[in-house]
Amino acid sequence: MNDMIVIQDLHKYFGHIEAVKGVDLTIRQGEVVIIIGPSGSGKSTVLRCINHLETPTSGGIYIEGLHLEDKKTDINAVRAEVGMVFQQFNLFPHLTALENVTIAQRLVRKRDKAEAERIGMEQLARVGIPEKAGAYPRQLSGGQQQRVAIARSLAMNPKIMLFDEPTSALDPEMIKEVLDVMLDLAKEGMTMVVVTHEMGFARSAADRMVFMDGGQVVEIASPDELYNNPQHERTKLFLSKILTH
Amino acid sequence: MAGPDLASPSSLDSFDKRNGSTTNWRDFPWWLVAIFFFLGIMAFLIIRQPGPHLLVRIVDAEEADGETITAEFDNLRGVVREDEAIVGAPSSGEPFDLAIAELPEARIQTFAQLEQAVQPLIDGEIDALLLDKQTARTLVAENEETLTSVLAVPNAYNEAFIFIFPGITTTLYLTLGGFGLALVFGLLAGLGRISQNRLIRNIAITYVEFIRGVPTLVLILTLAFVIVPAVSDSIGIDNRDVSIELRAILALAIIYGAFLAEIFRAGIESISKGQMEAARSLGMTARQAMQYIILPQAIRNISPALGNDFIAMLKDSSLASVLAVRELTQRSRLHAGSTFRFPESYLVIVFLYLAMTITLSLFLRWYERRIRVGE
Ligand SMILES: Nc1ncnc2c1ncn2[C@@H]1O[C@H](COP(=O)(O)OP(=O)(O)O)[C@@H](O)[C@H]1O
Ligand SMILES: [Mg+2]
Repeated sequence: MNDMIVIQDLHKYFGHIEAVKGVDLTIRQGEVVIIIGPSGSGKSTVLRCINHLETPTSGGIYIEGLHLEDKKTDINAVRAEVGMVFQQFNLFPHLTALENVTIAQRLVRKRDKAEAERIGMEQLARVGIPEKAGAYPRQLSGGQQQRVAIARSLAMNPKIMLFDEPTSALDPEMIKEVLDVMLDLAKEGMTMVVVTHEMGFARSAADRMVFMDGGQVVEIASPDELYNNPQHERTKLFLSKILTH
Repeated sequence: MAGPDLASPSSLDSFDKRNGSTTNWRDFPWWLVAIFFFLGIMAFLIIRQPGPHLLVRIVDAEEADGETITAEFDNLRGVVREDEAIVGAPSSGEPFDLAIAELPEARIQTFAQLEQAVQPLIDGEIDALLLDKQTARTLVAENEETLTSVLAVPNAYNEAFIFIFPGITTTLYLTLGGFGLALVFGLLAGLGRISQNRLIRNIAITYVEFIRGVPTLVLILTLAFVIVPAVSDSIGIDNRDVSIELRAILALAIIYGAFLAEIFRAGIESISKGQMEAARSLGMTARQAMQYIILPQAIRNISPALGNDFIAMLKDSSLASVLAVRELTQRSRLHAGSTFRFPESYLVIVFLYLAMTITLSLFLRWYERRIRVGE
């Protein structure tokens, strides 16, 4: 299989704080990688470096062989191939669901209105809320908003999807509808990097799980291995905390 | 964690709302009633036809012969025209304080007409007559016992209004032109303030701080008489070709641009970082994200503040009168200067400015409520 994302010795400082301390990770095409770890362990920072929302202090990120730190790399073109779903949804509140899903297609992919809307409606149908096309984000529930956010990324036909705690801001009854969409996506072969603590989802979707702590990758394993036979003390401690929850 | 949290802000909110729904007269906008009352009175004074109505106060006949004698009526001051005089009949030996005289529309030309007009005066049916000075002198000389010369304050609101009102076109033109340009300057400077480029940022900061540190009136004079000539010289335009109205518009735009820059900056910074990140993560350029995602939201948020500044500029357009631009204020000054009718001249523009600003701010409140409901 091809390497989709290669992270080499990634370091990231915020002022004097070293949020990421030398992370190496390679993610192959079609792979679903789930990152877990305590709050502040650098999970979001790693994810955000993958589409350059954060610029690494040192180290390299390669997407399909393209070196992101290279000045010649068109970062906007790369980002169009890398969808990102945020904890807070970040839908555009002044646009309807359909407009949210079409605006980047039109501006970045240069699709005409009719085509963008056709693809947009397809994606809204895929996440299960085509009837909300004309609704504004404030008129949608959290779960619906997050599904529109997923549709917005998918409408760009990305090769990679990044999810940063996509269900953490949701009321419990809405978590499943979002996870179901993500699970379908994983089954369809999307390359996904997901930060989440939804262990049921992780078990059924993940090819590999990454446990991070203190800005470093502590352990990488399959879900079964990680849950049943964690190798490191820190992993055991963390899992014991979240699994009894 | 579980259980109803009675002290939570949302439960307090609904409590307040329930209380607020009962009529509370202290919340009634009495000040608005006062303003409309004032506007109503002014409108009445303005609409009244000039001519027959006079508010007069008797003064000594000798005094009335002077060329410009000032009459006082409450706080109002004014003079009759040089060739006019008021003839009145004191009901007792004491001069009466105030009388309202109905005067004939047409000037008295024949002796018969004069007799006809004077009789009610002598009979005490009316209190005063406006006559040309010569006739007044004769009349007073012939009837020393009963008549005396009085001075009038013609209620000339209508006259003042007719002279001043055309200035409203210029006032609106200055305000709309100035504000339109100020929006452009303000947006550019506001974007400059948050630019990644240090030079651009410093230019924007200098502009804003410079403008905010100098009085508006001084800026208007400086921009119109120093900066515009200097700039037009340097780009080879005869500065006399730059009309004074255009200078006023440029001055207002440059001044308000600095204030709007801060509003735009605050508006852009009020949009959560996640919006820019979401837009960029979809592959939009920084410029596309600003244009299609950030600015539309920012402008909506700041539109009430922009509206307030529009009203402020409408008022500050009066400062253009120092450039002799014939807007409302300058026309009032001209009218006051030539007629000495200060109260009429200035109260008319107070009325006009208030009528415009109140209308605009009521509209603004309605709009604010509307966008808040939309949220
Ligand atoms: N923009 C930022 N500025 C300063 N510090 C940051 C910033 N983003 C993250 N950090 C810090 O970096 C560390 C890792 O953060 P993050 O990657 O968000 O962790 P996680 O997602 O695992 O909770 C934390 O200590 C956090 O406070
Ligand atoms: Mg995080």
